[in-house]
Amino acid sequence: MRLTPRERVIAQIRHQETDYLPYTIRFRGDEGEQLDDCYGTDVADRLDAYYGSPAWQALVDNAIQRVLVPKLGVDASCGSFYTDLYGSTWRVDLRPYQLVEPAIKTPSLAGFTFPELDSVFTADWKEETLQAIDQQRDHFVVIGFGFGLWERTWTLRGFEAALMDTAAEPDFFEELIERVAHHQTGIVERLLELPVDGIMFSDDWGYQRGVLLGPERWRRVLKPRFAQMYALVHEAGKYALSHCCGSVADIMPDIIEIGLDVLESVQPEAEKMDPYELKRRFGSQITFWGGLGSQSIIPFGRPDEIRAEVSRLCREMGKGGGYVLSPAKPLQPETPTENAAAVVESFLQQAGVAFP
Amino acid sequence: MADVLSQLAVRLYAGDAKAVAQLTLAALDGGLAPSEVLDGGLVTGMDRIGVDFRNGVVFVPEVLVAARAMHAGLDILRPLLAQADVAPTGKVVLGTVVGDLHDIGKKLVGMMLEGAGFNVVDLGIDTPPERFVEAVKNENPDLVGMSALLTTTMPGMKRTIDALARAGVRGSVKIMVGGAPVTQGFAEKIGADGYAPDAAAAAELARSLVGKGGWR
Ligand code: B12
Repeated sequence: MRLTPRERVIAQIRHQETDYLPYTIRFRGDEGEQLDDCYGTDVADRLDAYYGSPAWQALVDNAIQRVLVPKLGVDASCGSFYTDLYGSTWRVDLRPYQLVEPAIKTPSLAGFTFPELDSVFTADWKEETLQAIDQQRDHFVVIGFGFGLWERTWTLRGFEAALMDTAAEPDFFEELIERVAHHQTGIVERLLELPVDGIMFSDDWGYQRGVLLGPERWRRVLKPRFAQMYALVHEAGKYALSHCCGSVADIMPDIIEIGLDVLESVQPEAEKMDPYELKRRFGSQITFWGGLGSQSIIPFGRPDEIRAEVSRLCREMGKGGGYVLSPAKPLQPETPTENAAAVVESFLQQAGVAFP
Repeated sequence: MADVLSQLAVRLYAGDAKAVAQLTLAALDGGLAPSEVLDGGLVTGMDRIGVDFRNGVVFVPEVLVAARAMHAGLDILRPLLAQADVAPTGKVVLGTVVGDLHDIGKKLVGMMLEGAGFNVVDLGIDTPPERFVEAVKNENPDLVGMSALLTTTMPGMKRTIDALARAGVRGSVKIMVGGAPVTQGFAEKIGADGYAPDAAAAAELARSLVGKGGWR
């Protein structure tokens, strides 16, 4: 019997091999992250021209579908500036938008309040979201709320200030992150009422060479709080997935210990993030989602190299289950058209889809 | 006095801006020349934090906090160094290339360069080639440093080098590049003079590019 995309993902998370690998390909970043405005037509448009019609788009069937809670993010649709629900102001006439004035300007929480969740999770919102989820029937549906625990602290304080707070103002930072964790736990609880398969966390812990805050600090400040949130997700009978950029090899055992089911991105160029090595060391305990290099082979490789790498990913990462095939990032606008086509065609080919 | 300087390096490493300012003044009061305080105290402290950062002993937050402490000392020393006509190790114009908003890596590089005795002009993020050209003309630096964190914006480095050449100033500067996706091979391909994978290596590279010897 043929599996649905949803069943295929669940089998992989349970570390069972499937007929072929569930996959995702994204052609654009989330709203407001897009660089296409500065760098010309987006990749999907170029592929339309390359194939002579947009018919190819209907063949791409992303096994995991994301639903977002837009109100907690940045509305980049009009004006030059946007003040988010938390009080931080963003410049939104540039793509991607950027933080220009953080809500918390000194290391003190005096006078700061978090937004009321009732104003975000209205009855209308629920209605719309249920419809959006319903449209994704047969797919593995995740819901996410954008900036995660660490990221919310820096969008409240500014990136550099938050980084410094962690070392120079540890008491303040502890209080801040505790409040953010409390607030985000409330968000997760609301999301868990929905008929989704998993919660999509998103928090960039890594940079190219390692864990941005250092492994020890990550363990102290972030780990116990994520352990609680992942536990809530599991109690509700759902899966915990997380996007995370950069290198997190040093904390993989911790990530596994607190029960993350799926780690997304798996940026192969980052230090110690070679997917095959990760698979060998940790592959039986977590599911990897991503791994096709967005900083190397996709923009700079040749189409035949891309095809060869995709078959190696399928063969080795898919062995024993625990893998969802994907580029480490949405295809960036500078991707050569032939390379984008090689990604699409090799993904579909492994799924047994005859290509035009 | 040697004791004040080693204290200075230690407090800088620990990120204690107040102590760094106090010890800088104490060292000057004790009769040390501003350049001795810079080299023996601030540069030594930044060297240590840079090496430990590269070796994974300390992390980005510690480096930022140490650099803030360094500035507390540099602010006192700068006017004195200028008065005494002490030349910096060199002058660097630094920026994240056009279309790219990633900030922290470039800032860390700037801080480590200051810690290595360079005068740093930071052009900020999203810096178009023309701004680099203008800065090279106005500031007359020894070095230009470019940062790119996106494969999308890496070509901006090449465009900047071309623009410097067209403006007739390419020969007057050495160019170094870096940022997560940048590699030695890419640096060579676009005709840059050097690449470094991290901020400590960037300071080392800058010193060797201006002929002031390597690290240690
Ligand atoms: C933090 C971050 C952001 C923050 C930046 C905040 C800020 N104020 O800087 C925000 C959220 C704004 C952001 C936005 C985006 N980002 Co971003 N980001 C990152 C992340 C997680 C870490 C970067 C970082 O701060 N590193 C810490 C510093 C210390 O390291 P560093 O910058 O590498 O610098 C060191 C060295 O490279 C070197 N160095 C740096 N510059 C120079 C210069 C010279 C001359 C020398 C010698 C050395 C040198 O020394 C530094 C210190 O040791 C990376 C992940 C990664 N793998 O790097 C993604 C990453 C760079 N982003 C990425 C992307 C795609 C984006 C977006 C398009 C969309 C998005 N949200 O993901 C936008 C684009 C914005 C824009 N136009 O620039 C991708 C790029 C992929 C690619 N193909 O290139 C990455 C790699 C993530 C990934 N998983 O693929 N990002």
